Amino acid sequence: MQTSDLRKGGRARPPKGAGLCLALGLLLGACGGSAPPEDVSAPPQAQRTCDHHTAARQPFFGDLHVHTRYSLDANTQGTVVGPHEAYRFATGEPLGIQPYDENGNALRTTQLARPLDFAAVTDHAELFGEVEICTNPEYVEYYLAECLLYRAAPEQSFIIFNLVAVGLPELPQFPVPAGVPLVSDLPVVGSNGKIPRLPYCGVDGQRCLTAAQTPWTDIQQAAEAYYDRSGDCSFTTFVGYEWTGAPLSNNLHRNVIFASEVVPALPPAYQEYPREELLWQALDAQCGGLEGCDYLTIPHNSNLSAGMMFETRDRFGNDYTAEFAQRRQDAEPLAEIYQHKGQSECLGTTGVGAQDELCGFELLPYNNLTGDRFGGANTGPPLEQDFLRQALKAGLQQEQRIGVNPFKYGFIGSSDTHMGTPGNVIEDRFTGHAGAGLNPADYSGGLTDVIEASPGGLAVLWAEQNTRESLFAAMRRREAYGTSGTRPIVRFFGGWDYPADLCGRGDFVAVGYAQGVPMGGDLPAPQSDAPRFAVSALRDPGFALEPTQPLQRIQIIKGWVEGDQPFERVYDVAGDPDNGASVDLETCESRGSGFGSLCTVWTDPDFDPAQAAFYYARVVENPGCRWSTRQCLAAGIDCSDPDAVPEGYADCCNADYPKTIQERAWTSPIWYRPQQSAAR
Amino acid sequence: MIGRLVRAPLLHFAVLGALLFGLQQSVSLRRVEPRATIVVSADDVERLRAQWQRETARRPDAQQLQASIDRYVDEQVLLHEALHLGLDRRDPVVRYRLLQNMRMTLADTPIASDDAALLRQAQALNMAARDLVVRRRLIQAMEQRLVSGVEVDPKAVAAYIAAHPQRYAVPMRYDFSQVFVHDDPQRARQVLAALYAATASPATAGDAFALGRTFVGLSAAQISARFGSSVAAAVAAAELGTWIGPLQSAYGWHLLRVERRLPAQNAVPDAALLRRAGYMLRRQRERQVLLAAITDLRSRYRVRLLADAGGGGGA
Repeated sequence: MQTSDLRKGGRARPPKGAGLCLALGLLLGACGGSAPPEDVSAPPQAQRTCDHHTAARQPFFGDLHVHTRYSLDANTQGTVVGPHEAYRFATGEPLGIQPYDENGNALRTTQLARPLDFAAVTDHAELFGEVEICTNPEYVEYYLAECLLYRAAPEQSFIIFNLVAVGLPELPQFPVPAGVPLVSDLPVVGSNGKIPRLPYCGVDGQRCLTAAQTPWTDIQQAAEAYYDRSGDCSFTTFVGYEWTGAPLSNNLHRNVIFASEVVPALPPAYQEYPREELLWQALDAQCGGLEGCDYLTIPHNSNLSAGMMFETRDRFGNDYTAEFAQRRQDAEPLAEIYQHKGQSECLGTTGVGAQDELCGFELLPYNNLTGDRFGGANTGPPLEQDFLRQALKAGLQQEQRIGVNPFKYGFIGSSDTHMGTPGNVIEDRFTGHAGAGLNPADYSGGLTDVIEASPGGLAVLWAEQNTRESLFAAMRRREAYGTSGTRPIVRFFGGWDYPADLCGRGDFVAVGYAQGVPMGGDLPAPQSDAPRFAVSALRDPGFALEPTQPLQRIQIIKGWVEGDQPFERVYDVAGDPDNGASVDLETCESRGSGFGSLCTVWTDPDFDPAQAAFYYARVVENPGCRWSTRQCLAAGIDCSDPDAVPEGYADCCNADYPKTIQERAWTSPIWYRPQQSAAR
Repeated sequence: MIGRLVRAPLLHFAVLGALLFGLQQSVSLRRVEPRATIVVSADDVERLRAQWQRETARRPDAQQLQASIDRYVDEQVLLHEALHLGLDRRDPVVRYRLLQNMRMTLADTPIASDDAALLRQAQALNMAARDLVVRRRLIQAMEQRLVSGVEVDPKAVAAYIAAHPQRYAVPMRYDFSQVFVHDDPQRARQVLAALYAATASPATAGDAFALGRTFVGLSAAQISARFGSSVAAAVAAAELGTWIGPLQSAYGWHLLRVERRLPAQNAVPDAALLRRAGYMLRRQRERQVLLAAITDLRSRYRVRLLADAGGGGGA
């Protein structure tokens, strides 16, 4: 298999068109015609030490789920922000966003008050070629019917592309626009077992495959342009893409993040590899044996998978084997617990755990990507098994059965922005993330997104320094946590003999590592009657115009298996759940006090050494106004007179959605396994 | 007879002379005469107004409408230039599209199978300008031609790097040790006294602090983001090697000892940075070159506005 390596200039066939040839003259060497940039040797990365290198590790904030104009669903809505602009925004520079005027000047701008430390642009690979063909007239296919449809009616074509491209042509209630016969004409699976690309891609999609090199190459070059390889290590990019599998609109999406600039020549897409295990096989095959080519996949929005994301059978309906479970665990150390399309932590409506009222946080009311788009015809209420807490329990059950835990997930948050604005996740001044939400072309001064959407969250990685190697290693060992958009600092260690007074000592971190494992790890073999967990949290201090709330409490969530039944329990371990903090909804002013820092050493009071278990910490802030509440307040909406509420603000008076939000952080779990607890 | 005439030197001379004369005429005429007049009709303005409204859900104000009209005129200029260069005859995609259109329109006529005749017909109908897809194709092809020569040399990239110190230069950075006391400034002062007296170790003194106790290579902006601006200011002013504090932050109270100051550095334009910045500069240059080229081309056309674009329709 071919791979492309920007540093070595070893890219596969470059497509025609001057846009790819970075005519840097002498710098890039010969760049005439279609030659790729020549070698400009980058410094060897393995030996690089950043000025800020810290052996005790530090938290880096980032966003690993970002869409730009190369994603068709963003493209239809006028997003002209490409990977370059997205990365520039992540580093803290201002970015114009839609709507655009006729000169291409943006009418709105947005800027991060606090830059990110890292980001990955993850456009939908399935649509690289198609989008490029439709928007780049270099390609003859520009003129075929599907492209004409795309340009004439992008709104409808978004649906069609999504449904057809991911194998949803048979959906009966689908409102097909007049004169669009192609949906029902397409086979779900082609004779060769692959899901067909759209007809203009030619036989076996070859034309699209060629075309796809343009966005993919641009994505790689942007990642290279914004990765700070100096000793300052101010910003890290990752080459990545989204594998967009959603049979029947049930979301199996994964973001693929590559460890280095050595990546496959073309990103394995859903059409060719229509199940996650096929994706991993393809990535293994294409990366195999190539120095530096490594990847991990991050599932997201399991809340919208209608029961599929954490199924315990493979594509043939067979039960998981140990080998299969191991493959999944190796490929997927992390999952998104929160983003623009809601949280995937817990549902809390059935079984043990229903008492966890904090599961109501940013909960989408449907169970797949169709949402309420077609009047709920293809969707249902959310399912407990689609949430990570339940998946972690199912993982323990699988481990008991086959010896390996297939669902050993650490947690991150992401934005899933479709406007090329990584990390734009604060409630205040939320501009909307487009994509599945509100189309910015329809922006009329109302709420900037659909009411159930959220600004999304952030990924935090504990690493020695801000380089691809160091961050990727943190992802691998799951020393990561997700936030709902704010920036609290959370350490979480598990061991057997942490001193009870550890919070009153300055060497908390050193002892944490020395006598146990950090978040994401496995408890070592028992050395006492019950495991102890040391958790220390600092509030988000806020920044300039970004006011934040103090901490309210820390909780530890335990899940375990007894017999073969899963159980869970939420423990309040620090802070004060009844601190009386509240929000004045007339002004969005907060009331009551909270904590600047919280720390505790907690021993599991119900520990049974025979039961497999996991523990993760949830750090909860005092309540603040939700994004929608702020916008309704700013617009002066008065719900006592429904007739006077302007169009676009109707959901200000929708009682189904909360007015406040308790921002939070979720740490990756620490696992306990009976007998060989340190095994994988 | 005819053959002899064709071979006559006098005729050759006359034909060549006429050609040269014609060429000279056309060249000199072009220098002084506008290439064409671009007319912006009341209908055009109304269409642009409606388009704006469709895209932004708002009526454009006068300035926005003018921007719309300017953009439309620019596109017309690019289209004329593309036709002037004959891109419509050479571009396979345009030919394909025009032929498709004409075959459909003239399906039952004798010339339906005669490509040359169909293309002549398309030209007579001014179809290249009328067909949305062909028009966009020609405009984009023209834009690509205008920016095709854009290159950036290492000198320019180095200058670009120097001109963007906020992006590429390294600010002053600090290494410091820190002891945290979560609740009480009085207790913090006691710890400080113990540190002075060396009866407490900085490795274990104070309370747990999630960020740890040593910090290296942080800029004032980074310290400010983590600890607040007053702590950042205190670090900048601190004497090296001496414990200071307590300093208050959003978390509690801090005792600090600044170990080292690393001076600010200009960006070092090594190969990696030159390449990084080169990608960015080239992207910026292409946009500038395109705007300048369009401005230049525009001066060769006469623009007639047949509508009142001033009011903006009560935005």
